[in-house]
Amino acid sequence: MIHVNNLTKLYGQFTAVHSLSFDVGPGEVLGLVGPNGAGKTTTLRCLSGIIAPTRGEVTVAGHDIQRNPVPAKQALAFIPDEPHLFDYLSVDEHLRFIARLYGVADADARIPGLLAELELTEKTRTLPGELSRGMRQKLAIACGLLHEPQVLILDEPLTGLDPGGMRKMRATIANRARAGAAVVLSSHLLHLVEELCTKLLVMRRGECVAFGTLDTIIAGRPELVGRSLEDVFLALTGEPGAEPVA
Amino acid sequence: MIGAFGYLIGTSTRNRLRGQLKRIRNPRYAIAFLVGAAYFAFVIFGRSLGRSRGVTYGTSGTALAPLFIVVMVVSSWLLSADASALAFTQAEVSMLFTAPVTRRGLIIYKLVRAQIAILVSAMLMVFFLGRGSSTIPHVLAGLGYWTMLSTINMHGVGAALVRARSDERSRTSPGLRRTARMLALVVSMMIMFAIMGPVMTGGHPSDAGPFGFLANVAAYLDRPVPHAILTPFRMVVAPAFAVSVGDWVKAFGPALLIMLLHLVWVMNADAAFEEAAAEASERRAKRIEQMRSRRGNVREVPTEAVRTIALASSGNPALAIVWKNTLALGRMLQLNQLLMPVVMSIVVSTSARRGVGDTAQSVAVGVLFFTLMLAITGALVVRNDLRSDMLHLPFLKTVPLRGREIVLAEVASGALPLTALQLVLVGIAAIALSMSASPVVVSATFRGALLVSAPFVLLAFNGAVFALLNGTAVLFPAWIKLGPTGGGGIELMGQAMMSMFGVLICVLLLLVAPVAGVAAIFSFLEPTGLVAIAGTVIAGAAILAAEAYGIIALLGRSFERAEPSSVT
Repeated sequence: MIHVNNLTKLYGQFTAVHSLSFDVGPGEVLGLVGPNGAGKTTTLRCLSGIIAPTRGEVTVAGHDIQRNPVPAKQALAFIPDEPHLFDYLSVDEHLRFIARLYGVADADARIPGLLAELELTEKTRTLPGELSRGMRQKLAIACGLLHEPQVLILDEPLTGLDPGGMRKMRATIANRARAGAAVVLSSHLLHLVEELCTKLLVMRRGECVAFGTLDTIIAGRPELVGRSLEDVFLALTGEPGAEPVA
Repeated sequence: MIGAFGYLIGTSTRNRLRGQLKRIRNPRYAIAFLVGAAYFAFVIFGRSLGRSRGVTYGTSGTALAPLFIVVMVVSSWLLSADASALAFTQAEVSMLFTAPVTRRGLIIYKLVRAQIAILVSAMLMVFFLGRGSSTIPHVLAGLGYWTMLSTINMHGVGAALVRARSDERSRTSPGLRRTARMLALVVSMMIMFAIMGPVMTGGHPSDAGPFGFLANVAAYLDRPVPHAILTPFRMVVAPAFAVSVGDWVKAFGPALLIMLLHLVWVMNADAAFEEAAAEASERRAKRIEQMRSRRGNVREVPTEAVRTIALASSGNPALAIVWKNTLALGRMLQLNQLLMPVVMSIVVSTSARRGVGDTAQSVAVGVLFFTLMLAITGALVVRNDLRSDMLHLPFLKTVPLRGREIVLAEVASGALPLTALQLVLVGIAAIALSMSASPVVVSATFRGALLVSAPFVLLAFNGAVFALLNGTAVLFPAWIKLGPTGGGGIELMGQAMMSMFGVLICVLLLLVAPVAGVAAIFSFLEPTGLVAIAGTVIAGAAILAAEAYGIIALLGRSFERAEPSSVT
């Protein structure tokens, strides 16, 4: 569903992402982890077509996102960590706008259910300026899910959500994957990654330092056997504090 | 404390300047920079070669300048939103308001920070407004503009402080205060119309053109009582409008004194403004259009969508962008921005009434003048396009549309409603002319041809103007103000002028081919019938539309290459 080959992104002389290659198939959930500045958001933005790679290819649902962007983008949804909503569109109008952009024929039937799932039913006529941070994030999520994307890309999906919202979001991601969507998510919440992800891609300074299931990654580093995911993460990324807390 | 403020302002300015200069590495920005530099060089060296010295103000212009200050002063008391002149950025509120800094310190910071924009604006005003027929050096003219802009800025801050203090003491609700201010504004306008109406519509030389009434106003302002009332305002603008070094030397002292008096007033205003300023800052942060604005009467974002327009979920997806922007236009448009063109149209209409002696024709002249004003200034007011949406670039880059389709939809979002409004006005003018009892100068055939071709001409022209303005957002997002309004107060007037002049030059260049084409057909084929004339004008509109579409296609490619980092 997602095929990434030799993805490299340079900003002037600075290499944000260097030679990244991986695949995410239907039903798989890839967790992108790494310290701040590792290149996770840049990678997600390249995957979703927001920025163009300097080198390499990104294929979404069989379409090169640079050469054939329209069908590729039709198949994906990108939900950023900071919701960017239109100040002059209400909650309901945001969803109708997205429905037209993506040609969601049965939008009238889908929208009420989605609003109820994300607890936005009472806010349909409200403009974003009056929504709380969490509500805004939920609206951004609803916009991303409305057209039932085959590929779901999420940057820090739990940011701003209350505990109930977090639980629902985890369930939503799992359900979408079970329904056959390929999911890529970036998060610093290692328990979320551990719970949801079928594969991990650990990044450091723009490069991949580990890729695969947690078991295969640990199998390659025998000294990490029996350690927590946090310890594994710190050891792989060479972060300060890599020594386990007693 | 002063050292910390100086450090903050100095480093922020330096870093911002560095960031903008870094853009020059990009060939597109480099070309724009070179064109701008060439223009400045032309203005500077043109003077020494005895060429154009910019705008010639004339007696009327100089005499009317104090009225501009009057308008600014009145609006700072009556029109500005509560404490908006005191608004700080969110970072300033969270870091400076909680720091051990006195109120006076915060005011000093506010005034000093505004000085950077004021200095830049003063410099640009020297270049763009020129110095009329004056012989004073650039530096002196710049100092004149600087004192004028600084005084207006300080007056705005002082007015906001006084209002904050009165609000703190009184218990009236914000709504009641706004109503009281609106009432005061209406009364002020009624007084102004009562005095100026007869003056403007009074007799003036017939060869003075539609703006001959300005001479009447200037003459009225020179009478003893108005002259005495306007003296302090005249003192503020006098150095900027001085025609010789001697005049400037005489004028600068009083202007500087007024500025210093304002400084003393503002520094001694003991108002607990933090709460009002924090509220104003929060409101500003909520509204994208005011993110960088320091003052302004931008319409409040409503809390709920009262009315909407139905949108089918199937069909051309690009229409969703037009739909979104049309809704935004209805919710953000400030009708008071159209006040000035409306007033000018009424004046022109009244003036025409005296010339032609026919009410129907004078109505048509006024309405057509308003249509023309909309063609010139409408695109600056209606910003429901990429000038707002570039702030949502990451989202727009993920939608399943080609760049060309997105840019076309954005351009159409502004051009279509403006054209629709203009067509209504053209229709009103046509009806008025048809009801005229006296002969009309333009023949019925020619009027009919213009009426038939009006939709094509207006749409092509508006499309071209909006394409160019969207081009500034796509090509130079880091150098222009993004958001639903241009934003900025008096201190940012110079930058606004710079972008307006740039677009104006491009519009004139785009008009060369269609105007030349139409002129050639009229010269060689001499069309006379309604269909032939309309066909010729429509052919010219088609050339302009083709040029506009070419620009849109090119912008589409640039849009596809644009990255979020280019916007910040």
